[in-house]
Amino acid sequence: MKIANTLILNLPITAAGIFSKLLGRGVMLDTTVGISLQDFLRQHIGIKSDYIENRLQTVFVNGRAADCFDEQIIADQDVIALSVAMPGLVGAAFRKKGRLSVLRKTISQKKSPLKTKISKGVITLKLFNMVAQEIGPQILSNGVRVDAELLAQALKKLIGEKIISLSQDVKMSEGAQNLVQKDMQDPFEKRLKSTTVELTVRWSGWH
Amino acid sequence: MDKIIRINMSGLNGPEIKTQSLGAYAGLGGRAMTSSVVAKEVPASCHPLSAENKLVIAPGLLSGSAAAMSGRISVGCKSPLTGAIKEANSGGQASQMLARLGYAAIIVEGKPKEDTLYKLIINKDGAAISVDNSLKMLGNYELVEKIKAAHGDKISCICIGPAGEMKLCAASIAFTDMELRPTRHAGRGGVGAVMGAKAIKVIVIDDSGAKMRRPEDPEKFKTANKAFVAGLRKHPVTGEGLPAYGTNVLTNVVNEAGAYPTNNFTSGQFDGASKISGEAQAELEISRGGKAAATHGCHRGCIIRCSGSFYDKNGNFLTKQPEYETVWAHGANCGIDDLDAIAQLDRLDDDFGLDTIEMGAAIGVAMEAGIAEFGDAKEAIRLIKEVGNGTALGRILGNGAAVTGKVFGIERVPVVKGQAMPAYDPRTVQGIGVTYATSTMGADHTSGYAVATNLLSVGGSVDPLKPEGQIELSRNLQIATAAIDATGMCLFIAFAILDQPETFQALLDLIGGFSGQPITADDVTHLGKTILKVERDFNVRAGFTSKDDRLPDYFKSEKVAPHDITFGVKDEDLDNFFNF
Repeated sequence: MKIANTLILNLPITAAGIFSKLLGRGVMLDTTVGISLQDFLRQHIGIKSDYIENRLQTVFVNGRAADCFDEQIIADQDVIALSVAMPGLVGAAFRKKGRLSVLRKTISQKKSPLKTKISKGVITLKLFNMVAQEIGPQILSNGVRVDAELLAQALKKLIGEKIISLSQDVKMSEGAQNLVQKDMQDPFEKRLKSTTVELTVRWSGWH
Repeated sequence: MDKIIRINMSGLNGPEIKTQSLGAYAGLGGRAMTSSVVAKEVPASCHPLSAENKLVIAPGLLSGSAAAMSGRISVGCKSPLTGAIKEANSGGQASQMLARLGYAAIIVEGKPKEDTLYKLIINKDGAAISVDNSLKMLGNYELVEKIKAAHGDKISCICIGPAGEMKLCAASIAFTDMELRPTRHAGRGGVGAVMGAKAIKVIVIDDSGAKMRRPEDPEKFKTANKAFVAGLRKHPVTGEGLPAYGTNVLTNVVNEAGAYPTNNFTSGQFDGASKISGEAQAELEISRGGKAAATHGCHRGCIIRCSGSFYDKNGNFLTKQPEYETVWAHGANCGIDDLDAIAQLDRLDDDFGLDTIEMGAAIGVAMEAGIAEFGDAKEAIRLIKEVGNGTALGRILGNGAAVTGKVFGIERVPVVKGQAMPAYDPRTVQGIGVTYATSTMGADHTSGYAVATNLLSVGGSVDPLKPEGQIELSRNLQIATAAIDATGMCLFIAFAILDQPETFQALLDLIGGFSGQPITADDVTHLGKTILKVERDFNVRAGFTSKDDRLPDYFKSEKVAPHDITFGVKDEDLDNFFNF
């Protein structure tokens, strides 16, 4: 029987930066696949169209630079990474539809199959730099599955910096309690390693 | 800037100093000045450490003025690392100070016969040079402290560490920053070894009494500068990403693309990338606190402020915020995912006066040879100390990746023209492989920067979807970059002028307002082409042919993960690069 490892955190929005490493490594989302990248970002993640158009300048799907989000079909187990525009020659080459995109043509996104079946699937979403700051809180409040080791590191930091109290600000399922509350003195990552936790963050001071 | 200072180190009665008018070099600055002097005055066949080679240090055309971002300085010579012409570029305070004193270039020529070390002082009264053997083999930090004690803290220093004195091919020239620390370096190509061969340990610049350079058309200049600054501030790269995370913001993204060379270019992705990313670095620096922690400029007048200050666990200043290339070279390329260790390596490089890219590449090659294990930070630190101490192993490493590879019999040596590749795998991003191969400087990531090529229309507009456009585009970028290098402007302005035509126009107006003569995009491209042709001509005379414009063969045969691709640009296409 599957044991639910759910963890709900109550956090001030000022602590959102602590999740930057976790968001950079990627969070998993149960979502619809077989749809366009554009629809995934807008309808399923809830990112506004103008943010997608103007802010998301560097986007990778499975390590390949994406240019046309409405033509790019996402599939189960895809890894999608989102970033703002990057510096440097290579940074500029990575930009979607950029003037320098020919410089990285060997890793540009290939054309998606014309017909794909819409179904349920899992996507790993990575958020880098300003994007992690700007839409990370929203993603975390929607609920995601995260690597337990990385979550443990973030929890340790939140507790260490006295931003949260384990008893007041963290609600855990039985499964998560088994993992977290055995012994507060042990490093979390030892116990949480190689598993995932369903994390939802409820932010205070966030609009 | 209406004069050049020449120091002849071969004078019969010791070094001779002459101040000259600009003559044929009038109107040149930065890379245009250094490459023109080297091409005209240095015999291309000379030994780089001989009396015939010259060391040229030149502020940019706009340096010393109120123009934002104009504090870059160029260092030129025949490179001991590559044997080709070299321009290495740095931030720091020296460019603004030298320009305000009216000097368009310092040219050091000749070579002293005796084993002495000199200190050169330049101020509003002229220049003076004296023997100071007490400075021998001092690290840059200790050296600058000693100079500060003697000359006060209103100065800037251009200096070499022990690596320069030992004439190692990876030796850099340090330029002190706003805090008078030797954190900024003209790193590439072994320029520090040439300064060491000239036996000048330090150039002390004191601009007391000098005034800011005045534009010919103050009103136009002021308006353009305001628009230029506004353009930089509103752009997401120069106004947000770089100030917040520094250049290391690239780590996560380049790693995601599979273009992040790992363990001596054996993979394109590093498991520990997120631990050494710009995001992790900024978080660490902010949590440790301290003055100018995560955001700081490398010179006065910098408004992008992509640098910062790295404090150790106890809150003591260790080094400036390590840049993307440094974090990669000493990090992923050596399998090291510890920011504190990387910062320590950066500090040692700065103190000994070493190019961080070349040293990271050399240690990566040494690790492949079994001298140390990939990921062993303590051993990497020990190896850099060997270089600083001048041991036999240290001298091998300090002469760069190519020498290290030869000594230890390693085939996988990521160099072009003897210079180590920077932090982008050319198999994954093949366009940068074109730049690595064809640059007059050896493998160099800044030679073909993301400057507004379509605005400049160099050689026509390039269709980004046309596969063969890589050569054209790399050529256009290298031409445009050469021109920007002449102005003293930081290359990071490229992003704002790439995306915002009004910011590009503001830059043209800024240059035009300063010189009093309108400047067009055609003028810029003409300047860039002239510089590249002068450099190419020097290299041809030095014995380089199109066969040197190649990546090492293994890039064509050895696939790199995760995309499993090899470098596919044809040799005949690379040979077309200089057809302009």
